[in-house]
Amino acid sequence: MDELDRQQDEERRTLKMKTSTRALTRNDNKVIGLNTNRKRELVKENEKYDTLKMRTYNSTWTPVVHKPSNHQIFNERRDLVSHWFDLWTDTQRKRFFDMVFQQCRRSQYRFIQDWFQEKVPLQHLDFTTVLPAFLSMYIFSFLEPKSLCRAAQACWHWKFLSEQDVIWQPKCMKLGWFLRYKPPDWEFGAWKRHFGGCVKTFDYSTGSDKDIDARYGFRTVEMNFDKQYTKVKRSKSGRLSPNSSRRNMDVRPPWQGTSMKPHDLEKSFYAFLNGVNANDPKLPKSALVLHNKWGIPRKRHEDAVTQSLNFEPGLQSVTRREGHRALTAGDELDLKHTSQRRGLSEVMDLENMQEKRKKELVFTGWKPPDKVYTKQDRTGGVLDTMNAMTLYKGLMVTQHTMGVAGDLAVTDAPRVVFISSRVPAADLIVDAVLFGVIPIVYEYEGTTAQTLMFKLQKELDGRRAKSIGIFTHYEQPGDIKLVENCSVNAETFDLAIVREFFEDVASHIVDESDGGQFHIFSPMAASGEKKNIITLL
Amino acid sequence: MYKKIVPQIKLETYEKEVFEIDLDIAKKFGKLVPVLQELLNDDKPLTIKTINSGTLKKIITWCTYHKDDPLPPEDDDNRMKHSTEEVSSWDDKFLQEDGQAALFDLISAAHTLDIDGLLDVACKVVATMIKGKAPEEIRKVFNIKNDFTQQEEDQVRKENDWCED
Repeated sequence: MDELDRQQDEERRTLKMKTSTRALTRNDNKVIGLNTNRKRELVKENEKYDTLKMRTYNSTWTPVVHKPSNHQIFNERRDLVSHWFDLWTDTQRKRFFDMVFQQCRRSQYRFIQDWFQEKVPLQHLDFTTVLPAFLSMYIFSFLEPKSLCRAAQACWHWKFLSEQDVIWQPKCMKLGWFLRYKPPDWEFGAWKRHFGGCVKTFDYSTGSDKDIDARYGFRTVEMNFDKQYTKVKRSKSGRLSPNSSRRNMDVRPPWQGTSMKPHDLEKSFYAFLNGVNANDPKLPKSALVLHNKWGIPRKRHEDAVTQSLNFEPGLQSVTRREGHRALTAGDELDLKHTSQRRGLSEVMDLENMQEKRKKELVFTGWKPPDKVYTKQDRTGGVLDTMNAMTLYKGLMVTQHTMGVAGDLAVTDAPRVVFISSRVPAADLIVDAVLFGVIPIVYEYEGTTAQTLMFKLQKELDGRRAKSIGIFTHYEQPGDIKLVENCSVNAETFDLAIVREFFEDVASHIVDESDGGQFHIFSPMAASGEKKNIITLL
Repeated sequence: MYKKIVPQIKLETYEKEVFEIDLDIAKKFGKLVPVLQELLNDDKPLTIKTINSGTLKKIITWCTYHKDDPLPPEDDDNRMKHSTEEVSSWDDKFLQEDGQAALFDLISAAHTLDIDGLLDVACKVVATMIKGKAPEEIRKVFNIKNDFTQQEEDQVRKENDWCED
């Protein structure tokens, strides 16, 4: 029995040994050696712990009992899985989830459910992650610049999307802001920067009117992003309503060029057709009685009344009947009666402005000027005024007063002023020249006395000037620098050119008895010498 | 009275659900119309995997509501004049009632089916959500994680301060 027991025990042991991974025989010591066998024994000892109880729940492949290392191994494996997960395609990921979820227990399902409710709120979703980029950009294209700038501050991806040239280019183009170059591919957000730069440089204010007034002193063109982007409301007929069109005109910024309907240009075009220079200072006031500044006949009140009285509605009008009668009778149709056109003599009358002007002049008469314009010399009082013809008494102080002598003087004997380009602040003098005084501005260099005479004759057009003034500068005392290479002083006065010039000028001035005058406005330091010259002249 | 036979198109969604759509409603489907007309006599439905049933239902509702709308004038000028206005209150309510995810699905589907009107309206609705909000609010509304560092955020704000007053 004992034998048998021992035998059975032996057998069981061998069986156990056989079932274990490594089949060991009794004479292993002889085969592998003592040391190795001892190691094997150690391993076998360890395998005793390899029970189900010792298995961790984290992973079946981590038989390590040591907790920190176990945790570390878990972390490593988790990272590895997440790395693989990153590399997988969408379907692969789905398959993985499918597998994982099937293995889940109830508590895990509950966890997943909670997680989804908390982390993926379907009410708040970033559309740039869901939609393709071009659709996101299409959404952004509906936004105005301000909102786009704010969207760019949300996160990097939004910044990238909202600064695309595709969005900003049309916005720039709409305002007429073009880039001078084609932005290369690597230059990101070029159009947005351009837009921002333009806004900064043009510096229009979106603030209140008061603020603008305080800053600029006048109302600037009102510009608002919102206004820019609102559609122009069109009435049913497809035409702009008067209100909206007016608003458009107001909104139109100065850098968008002239208006669609340039009224001033149109009018000056009429003036050109009528042969009238709207800006002609010579244009007598009487010419403005029947025609306006642009030569367009003014509408007369009587005309309007008679026209409205003559107007007959319907087929049985007098003019129609007259026309019919004339046709049937073989008479010649009286054009004067049937048409609104003026007769030839009338047209001639109207066209002959001179006639009308004369008529007006007779009736209007001379009016004294109700204002005395004072002109201040900017040259610090050195401008000395002299009357060479010694007809006009005094008043030749630094403040030279010049009255407007009414319409008559303008038409018959205009006043002429020569202004040399060398005179300090010549522009100011030109600007200050009153209506009715013809300014002849000439370049000091490259003009001769003869040219001046020619200009004078052209301007006077056969008339005689009431007074002629000359503005010049000087280099040496007692010099009148009329033109280059022609200065008037005691020595050169006898020269033929100078004498001829002054004689010519004198011949263009009306008689002394009618109030003809000749002034030379030139700074002169030494009074003795100038007197000499003046007397010579 | 005789029954009017309306030609119908069959569309199969992602969920393998088949929808029958009247042809006059399907006329809204821009470039897809000729394709659909070819399939008209076919019994086999056209499968569109990218659209789910809920979205397609919504699209059909929208198309039915806007069936009689006149076509917008097809000029570039009109296309360029983007603005967030002119979304009717019905559209606004209809598009927002199912939450953002559904709306974005709708945008994607409207693009797939080439329904310009719906795409524009839906995009306008989304744009209105962004409009007039501060960056922080935008992040909140769209659940965006702020991935700027403090320094970067300051710089980006500086870059964009020209449009603030």
